[in-house]
Amino acid sequence: MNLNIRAEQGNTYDAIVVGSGISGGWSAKELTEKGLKVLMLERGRNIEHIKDYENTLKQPWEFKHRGELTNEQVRTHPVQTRHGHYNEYNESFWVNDEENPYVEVKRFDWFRGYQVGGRSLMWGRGCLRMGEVDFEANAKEGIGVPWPIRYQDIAPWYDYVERFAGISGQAEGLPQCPDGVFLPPMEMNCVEKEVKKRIETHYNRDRVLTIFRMANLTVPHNGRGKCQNRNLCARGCPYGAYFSTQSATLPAAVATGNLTLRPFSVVSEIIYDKETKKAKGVRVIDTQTLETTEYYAKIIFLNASTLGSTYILMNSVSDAFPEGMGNGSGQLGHNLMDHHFRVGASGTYEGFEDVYYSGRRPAAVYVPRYRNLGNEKRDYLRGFGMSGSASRSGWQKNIAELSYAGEIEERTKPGEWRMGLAGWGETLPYYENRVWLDHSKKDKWGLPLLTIDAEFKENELKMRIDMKNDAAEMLEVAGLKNISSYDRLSHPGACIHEMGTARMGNDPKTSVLNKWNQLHEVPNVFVTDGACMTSTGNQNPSLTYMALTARACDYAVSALKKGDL
Amino acid sequence: MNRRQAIKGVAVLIGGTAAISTFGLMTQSCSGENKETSAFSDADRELMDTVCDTLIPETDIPGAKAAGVGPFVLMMLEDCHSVEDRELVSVGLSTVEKEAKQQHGKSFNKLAAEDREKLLKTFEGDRAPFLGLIKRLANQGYYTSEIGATQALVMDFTPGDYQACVPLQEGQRAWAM
Repeated sequence: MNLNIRAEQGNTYDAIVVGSGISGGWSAKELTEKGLKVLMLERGRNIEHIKDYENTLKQPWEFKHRGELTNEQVRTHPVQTRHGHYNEYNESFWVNDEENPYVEVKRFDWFRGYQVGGRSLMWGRGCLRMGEVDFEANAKEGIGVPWPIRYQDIAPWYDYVERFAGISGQAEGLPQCPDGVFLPPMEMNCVEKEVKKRIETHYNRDRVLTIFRMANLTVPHNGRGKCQNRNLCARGCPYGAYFSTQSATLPAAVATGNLTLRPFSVVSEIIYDKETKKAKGVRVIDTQTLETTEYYAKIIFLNASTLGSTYILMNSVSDAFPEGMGNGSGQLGHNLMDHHFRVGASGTYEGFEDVYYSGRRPAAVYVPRYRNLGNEKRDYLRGFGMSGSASRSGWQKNIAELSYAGEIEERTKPGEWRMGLAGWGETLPYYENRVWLDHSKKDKWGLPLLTIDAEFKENELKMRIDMKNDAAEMLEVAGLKNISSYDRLSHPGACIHEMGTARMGNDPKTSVLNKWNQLHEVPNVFVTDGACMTSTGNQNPSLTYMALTARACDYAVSALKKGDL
Repeated sequence: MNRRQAIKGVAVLIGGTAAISTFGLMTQSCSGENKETSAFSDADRELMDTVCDTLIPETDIPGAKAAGVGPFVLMMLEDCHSVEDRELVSVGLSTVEKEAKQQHGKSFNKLAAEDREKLLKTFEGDRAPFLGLIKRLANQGYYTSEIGATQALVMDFTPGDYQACVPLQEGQRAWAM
C-alpha cells in the first residue's frame, strides 16, 4: 500500500463526514454550525450548484436522443438502465456500473450517484414523516428488533429539518402520516380535486387524497427561489427550489468557515484505536492520484448511503472487530430492505374536457396508508401509501393512430384525461436479506466487491394484491372509466429506498446502532443514513434520515463537550 | 457492403470505442460522415424522409421534413435501437417501395401525397410492426423538435406558476412538455 502519512496534525479535524448526499450534507451543516472543524469526504467528483447543472436550461430539441439512452450507455450502465431513472437528461449524475461493480446473488438494482450531492440531486423529493404506528410495529408484532425510539423522540427533529429544508404540503391530521411544518401546498387539478372529493366521501375519510409533501419550495425560503413548475428537478435546479446538498445544506456548512470538502475520496475503512476503544480516523484512497491518506477526528459520521456505509464498516476489520467494525451482534449487513412498488391501476376520466392546467407541477397526489390501522387485520402485516396524478394526454396520443394532412387540430389539441394510482409498500426486515464482501473479487482500487442477496417475500406479495385491487377500486369509486390494473413486481433496489444492514436497537446483542445512531461498540462512530433503519415504514425515507442525522449531531456534539466522546 | 455487413460494422465500432466518451461516440455516429458504419442506404434515407412527411405533413405549420424527422428516426435507430429493429425498418422500407412500384409503377417518393397515405394505411397494425416503430420515433422526433414543440404545440419552458384548473380556449393546443 502506498501510504502517504503527512504530519498527523495537518490531517486532523474535529469530525469527519463520509458522504455528501442528503444525510451527509445535514451532518456537515449541523456539525460545522455547532463549531466543529469538519472534513466531508466524497468519493465522486465535485458538482457546483447551478454552474454544473449542464442540462438544466436545455430545450427538448437540444438533447440529441430526446432523453433516450444510446446502446453505448446501456452497455456501460447495465444496472442504471434497468429502470427509467437514468436518462439522457441527467446521465452524468448516475454511476458507471462497469467501473463500480458489485455482485448480485439475486438481482438487486443498485442505483448510485457518486458525486458531491450524491442522490440529493436526482431524488424524488417526497417528504413524509413516519408515524407512531411505524415505530412501534416491530415491537408489537415481534418482527426484527424494536425501534429504540418512538415518534415523540423524532418529532421535534422532523420539525427542525422541515423548517430548514422547506417542505410544501397540506396538513390532514392523520397520525399514521403525521403533519409537519409545511410551506403552502401545491394545488390539485380539476380531475384530482373531483377524485379526492369522491374517494373521501365514499370511504368516509378513512382514505384521504392529499397533495404530496415535497421538498420543493412553493414560496421563497432561506434565500432559495420558489419552484418554477418546470418539473425538470432531476437535472439540478437553477433556482435552488428543491432541497439538495448543493442548494441547502452545503452553503450553510460553507458559510461557517468550518468545512473542508474533499471529493475523489473513497473511504476504504475506519481506523480503530484499541487503546481508546474508539475510531481514530479513516483511510482514504484518492481516486485521481491513487494515493492513500489517513485523516483523523474525534467523531465520524458515516453517510455514505445505506450500502456504502455498511460496506465501510464491513471493510474496517481489526483484532477487536474481525467481522467488521461494530459487528458484535452479527447483524451488520443483514436485514436489507427496500420499498416494493410498480403496482396499481389507471383509467380515463370523461368530463372536464373544457379545462386544462398550466405549468408542470413536480408533485403527485397521495393516499396515505389506511390498511392495518385500528382494528383492521389483513392477511399481511403493515401497509402502503399510493400516489398518482391526473393529466391530459399530449402528442403521445398520435402514436396510436396515423395522422394525415388536414387533421392538425386533432393531432395537437389536448387529449383525454387519464389518472393513475400506484402503491409504495413496506417491506419487512429479513435476516437472510443481506450483503457481504467478496474478497476474491476486487474493484480498481483493490477493494473487495459488495455482494447482495435479497428478495421480497410472502408478506410483500400478499400486500400487493391489496395494492392492485385497491388502486382499481378507488379509481372506480372516483368515476374513472376503462380502468386497467397491473402488478409489475421488480427486484429490491429499484425503488432506491434501500434501508437497513446496520439497524438501530436498544440491545447491542441484536443491533448495530443505539438510539443515537451510535455504534454500540465504538461510541464515536455514527451512522445516520438508510443503513440505520430498523423497519421501512411505507413513507419515502429521506426526511427521516435528515431528522435522525440532525438529532444524532446534536447528541454527538453535546457528548463531545461533556467529554463523553 | 451489404446491409448485414454494415450492421456488423456498427457493432464493431461500438465495441471498439469503449474508451471514448459517450458524447464522442454519439457525435461520430450522428454526423453521418462515416457512411460505412450506417445500417441504412441513401435510398433508405430518402424513403424515410417521405414516409415521415406522409405521417406528419406540412399544413399551415411546417411538417416532418422541415423538422428533420426522417434523419432523426434513422439516427435513433442507429444509436439507441437493436440490430433487429434496424433490420425490421430496412426490410419494411423495401416492402413499401416494392408495393409502390407494383401498384403505381413508380417509387414511393414520386407518388402523390394521397397515394402515399393510402399505401401506408395498408400497412397498419400487426401486419407491419416496422410502421409502428417508425410512427413512434417520427412523432417523438417531430413534437420534441423546435418546430413541433413551438409551432404545432405550445412551449412554456419556465411556467413559473402552476395553474391547476384553467378554461380551455377555443383551438388551444397541448403543452409540448
